[in-house]
Amino acid sequence: MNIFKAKKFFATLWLSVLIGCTSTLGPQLGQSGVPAADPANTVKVKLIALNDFHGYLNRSENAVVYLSDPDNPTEVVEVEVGGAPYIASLIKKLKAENPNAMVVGAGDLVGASPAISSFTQDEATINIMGQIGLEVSAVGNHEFDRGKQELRRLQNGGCAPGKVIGSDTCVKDNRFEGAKFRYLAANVIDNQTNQLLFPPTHLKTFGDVKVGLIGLTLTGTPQATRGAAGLTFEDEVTVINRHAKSFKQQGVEAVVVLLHQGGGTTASTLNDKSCPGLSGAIIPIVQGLKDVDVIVSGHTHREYVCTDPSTGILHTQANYYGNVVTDIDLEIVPGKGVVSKQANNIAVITDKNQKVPRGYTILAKDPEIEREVQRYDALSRKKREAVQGYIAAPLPIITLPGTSSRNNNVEHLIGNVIADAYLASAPAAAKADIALITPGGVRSGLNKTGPITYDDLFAATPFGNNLFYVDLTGKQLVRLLEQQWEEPNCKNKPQMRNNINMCGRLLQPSSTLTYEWDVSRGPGKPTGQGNLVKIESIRIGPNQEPLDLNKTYRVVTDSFLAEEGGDHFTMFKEGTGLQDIGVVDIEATVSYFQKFPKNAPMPPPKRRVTCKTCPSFF
Amino acid sequence: MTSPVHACLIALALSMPTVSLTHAGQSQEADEALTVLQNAAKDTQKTCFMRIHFDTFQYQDCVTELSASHHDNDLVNLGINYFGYVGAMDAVRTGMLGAEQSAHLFLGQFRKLQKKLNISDQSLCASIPGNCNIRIALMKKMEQAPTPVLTDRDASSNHHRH
Repeated sequence: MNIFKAKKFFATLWLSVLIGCTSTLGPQLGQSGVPAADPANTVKVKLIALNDFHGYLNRSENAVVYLSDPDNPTEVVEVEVGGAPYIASLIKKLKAENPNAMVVGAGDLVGASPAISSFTQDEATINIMGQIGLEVSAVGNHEFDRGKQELRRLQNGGCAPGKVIGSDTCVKDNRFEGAKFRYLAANVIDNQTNQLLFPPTHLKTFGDVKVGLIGLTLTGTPQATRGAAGLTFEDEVTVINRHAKSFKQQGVEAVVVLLHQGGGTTASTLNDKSCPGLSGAIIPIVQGLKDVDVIVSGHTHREYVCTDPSTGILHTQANYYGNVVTDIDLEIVPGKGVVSKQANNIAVITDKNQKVPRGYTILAKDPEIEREVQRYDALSRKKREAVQGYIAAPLPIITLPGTSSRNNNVEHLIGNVIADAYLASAPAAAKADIALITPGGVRSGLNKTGPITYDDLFAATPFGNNLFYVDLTGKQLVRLLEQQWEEPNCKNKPQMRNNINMCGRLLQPSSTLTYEWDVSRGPGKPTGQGNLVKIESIRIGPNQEPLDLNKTYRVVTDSFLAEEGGDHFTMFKEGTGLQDIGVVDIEATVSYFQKFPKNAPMPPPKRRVTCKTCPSFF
Repeated sequence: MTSPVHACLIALALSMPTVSLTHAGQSQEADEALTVLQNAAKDTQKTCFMRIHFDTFQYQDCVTELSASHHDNDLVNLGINYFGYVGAMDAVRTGMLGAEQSAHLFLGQFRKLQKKLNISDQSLCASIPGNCNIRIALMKKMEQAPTPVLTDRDASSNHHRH
């Protein structure tokens, strides 16, 4: 760095501190370009925001945040956070500070949810969000996980078709009235009607001032969820600017965007308003906007309070799973606009914490919401603890010798069984040949014999990925298998054991794929030159027929591999005829285990992959 | 308790002399090294940072791959691995599965390079925006703690589609 650059760097640093302070000091200093606040007619409005709740009515097992300690600037304090009963308490507390308050969301309230919510088709979360006072939320990509019809049902009410009333849907008095809050979707067009799926905006009046809210999700939603078929997602900046301009022309004093798209910072603790190192898709969006005062963002699961230096727009995000809530205070002058704005990310600190730094509050559970959560919990527990099938021998995860880390380069019995379950889930008419899953697609083994519950299976395969089939030629299949030991699945740094580089990521095959590979041929060949698989050994199908390199084979796998070529298995993306089977991984696994009753438990699966040159621990 | 006004005035006052002192004491060589570190960190941030939510281990792999592609340049590698640590810590501070293991991994990697290149914690910290007092304290705390062990539950990819 030359002197000029150094000066520029540190000047920028100083300026960012100044900007951060200007934002923090908003109520005191006002803002350039807008009139100073007139205490006589200024209206104070509070927005309480959350995002990416994902149905976590109970605290997520690992949910913590790091707090700075005002009495010890070099220390951070880790606290347990989250849970709907605590969020409800915090919202009540914040509302008590200012009656001109509204609770808003930035999407992904539901979807990729734990059993307590997903077992009710997320009706539990929709109900509780209404009870804790949510008024309006943007849709996120996960709201579309089950398709547009199901999302409309969550908004408008009614029981889920094909589900058991009272157990799987309409679990409260056999009815579901729909969301008490309003979903906004300013950039989501239903291709069938050419109309917006939900209203684009919401207007709320506080005394003499109006606050206009625009809600939308990222344009990349179709790439992020399978349920967005038949919908068009318009560009965020174009849509926001159109509605913001309209609001301003109507005399709306404050324009707030609820946007399911975000960024991330390099902050070390919660609520670092210097917004260090902000990056991500939110930046070009913020910088492209006019007539917007505040953005409540989401999607990236980060936590930040930032003020864009070029537009002055305050933009925030509140982590995920309800661990944090953003408290936004606006001062608005009737007929003029927002004269000050500030925000704080507040940790939802549970009463499991004994002590917190000065300035933070330990929350008690809201009793009403706690009762509701317990009711949904009991309902889901009954289902989770139900026996689904029986196994005759444990189905463990194999760990690396002398460690508790998974060995990614071997067959795991549980992996084989889940691959068999995936294959069985494909409709007979599809004539699927084999199934494959990545070892990371199995979270834990079944280290016992006898009855297996839903909870056991969910622990093994908790991702909620949809299953697909895709067609690969014999040549492509060989290439796919070679990718198991090519960089980066085979790390750049050799993982030597007994002079053998044991790196690799072995796809867990169904019983209809068997083959031999030879570790001595050396891993890490460039793509296209791998030669570890003995092609002549590959057998496909129930009758174990030799592989035909020119024939097309139908492969069942999950969305992680099929759609995204995840874990570097890019050959999946070169396949053809990608088709969503319409079954989620856990559903396929449960259905498969249900074929094995107590008097005919599942026998341990046979090995499908042979490696005569591998050391014994493979 | 310090008011927001008071706190900001203190921060503003403190930032200026620190900048001057830092600048006055830096050789051109050190300035250039900082630029290399900043660029390497920015490149890592741009390439890998957002993957951490999708999958902690995809992030780890991304940083590792980027590092391997610059294996012949220790300074660039330091910037990459240092961002690897800072990025992982952003996920650690909100309890993301697997993030602590990634942070430990990159902490070990960049410490070796930092020692080899004889770069101070403060100089390194200046390459990525943030509160250096807390970041350095957390680094030291993590070094004293045992390396977290991967369990079956978190040894795998998150696979969460955001």
